[in-house]
Amino acid sequence: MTALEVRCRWLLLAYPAAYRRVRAEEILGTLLETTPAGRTWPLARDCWALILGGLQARAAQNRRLSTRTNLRLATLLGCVIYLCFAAYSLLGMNLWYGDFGQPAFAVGVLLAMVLLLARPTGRGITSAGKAVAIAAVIAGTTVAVVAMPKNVITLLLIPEVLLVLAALALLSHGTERLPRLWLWLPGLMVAIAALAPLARALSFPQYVNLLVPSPSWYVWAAIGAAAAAWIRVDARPAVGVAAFLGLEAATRLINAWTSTLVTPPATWSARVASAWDSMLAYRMDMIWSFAWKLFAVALALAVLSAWPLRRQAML
Amino acid sequence: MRHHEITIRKPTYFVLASLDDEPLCGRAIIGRAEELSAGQVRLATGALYMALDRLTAAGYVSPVSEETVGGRVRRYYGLTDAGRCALRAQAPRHELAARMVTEAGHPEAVAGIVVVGGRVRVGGKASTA
Repeated sequence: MTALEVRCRWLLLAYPAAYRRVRAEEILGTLLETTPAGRTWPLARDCWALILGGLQARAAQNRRLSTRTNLRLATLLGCVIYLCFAAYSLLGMNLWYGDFGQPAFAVGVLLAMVLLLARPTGRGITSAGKAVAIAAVIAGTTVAVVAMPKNVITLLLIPEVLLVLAALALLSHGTERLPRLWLWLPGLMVAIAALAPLARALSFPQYVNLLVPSPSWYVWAAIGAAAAAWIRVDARPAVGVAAFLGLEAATRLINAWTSTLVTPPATWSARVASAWDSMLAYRMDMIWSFAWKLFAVALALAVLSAWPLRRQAML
Repeated sequence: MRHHEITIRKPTYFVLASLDDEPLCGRAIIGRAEELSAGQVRLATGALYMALDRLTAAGYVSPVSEETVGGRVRRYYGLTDAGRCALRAQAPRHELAARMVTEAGHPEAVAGIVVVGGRVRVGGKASTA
């Protein structure tokens, strides 16, 4: 295989796999014939046209399903991102404190999610798989709550995670599955969540907790922008990211608010109790100022993708 | 097969026009389109297959035969009747091509294609370019 052919094959990856199976050899043949002899790279305009053509073929391929199915898959993607990110948070924030109850819960949730999404028969999850998924979640939840957690704040995350998992179970019924390409998105989210503390540790070396994920809202906005740029090809990831950001913002707000409801124990002195109150109020302020930005990005994405999503089903 | 109206812009038009005489393979379409348009339309491979996909979906073009060359499949595309109608209907919109398709059929028979200031003009009489 010549260097030119290798590079052409790389460019052909812009096309969806199903399309490549049928047409790749033909397109490659034409490309090699039309490229002037002696070149090791295809012409610039050929590169550009291949990328555009690939994206267009992807867009055409994505116009097969009804709006209803598209919405279902998009929301499913949002749930998957949410659960992956929440599981990473629970693992990172608790392993650091030496708590193992909530990481057990996170592992149970991830296992249940994988079982619900992976359907080797193509007809839905088997009853044995269902039983294992439910058992894993119940065991994880029990361990998380009973194992005397040192980090009480993240316990608040459990009801929301269970709710989203239930939504995922409901949405995962149906013949259409998540496109495999989309599984990059949750992976990207978790990679970013893992990178954020690393970046912080580099600027504040004395603060070495490498596991607590707290990406700034710019990171989420950048992911939103990438999903928005993809709308022309497929509007569903944008809807999925919007769903994730909305859920994430709502979770943060609900948790900040419920933590303010905890009344300080009567044994605390008035001074400590008032310091506790002002700490919670400060935390609520901070989370609110973060959450509204997430809501804004989610809303912008939802507005941008609403019409293309509908159009995607009509063409 | 799904039939629907598509917008035919210049490159797509010349893909149709290049298939007017006989079915051609990808490389030959690129060459013929360039020749018919007097060098105006130089299709990139990706753009050619994008156009062929659209034209096939619209029912204007269909693959008629294929052969294997050097281990690779090479498909020949031909105009359908609908494609021929579309070509004739679109001809007036593409002035230069209109002459080739409706009058002569071949660029070498069209007298007076001159390049004026980088743009192709069609003159009535043969003149040197």
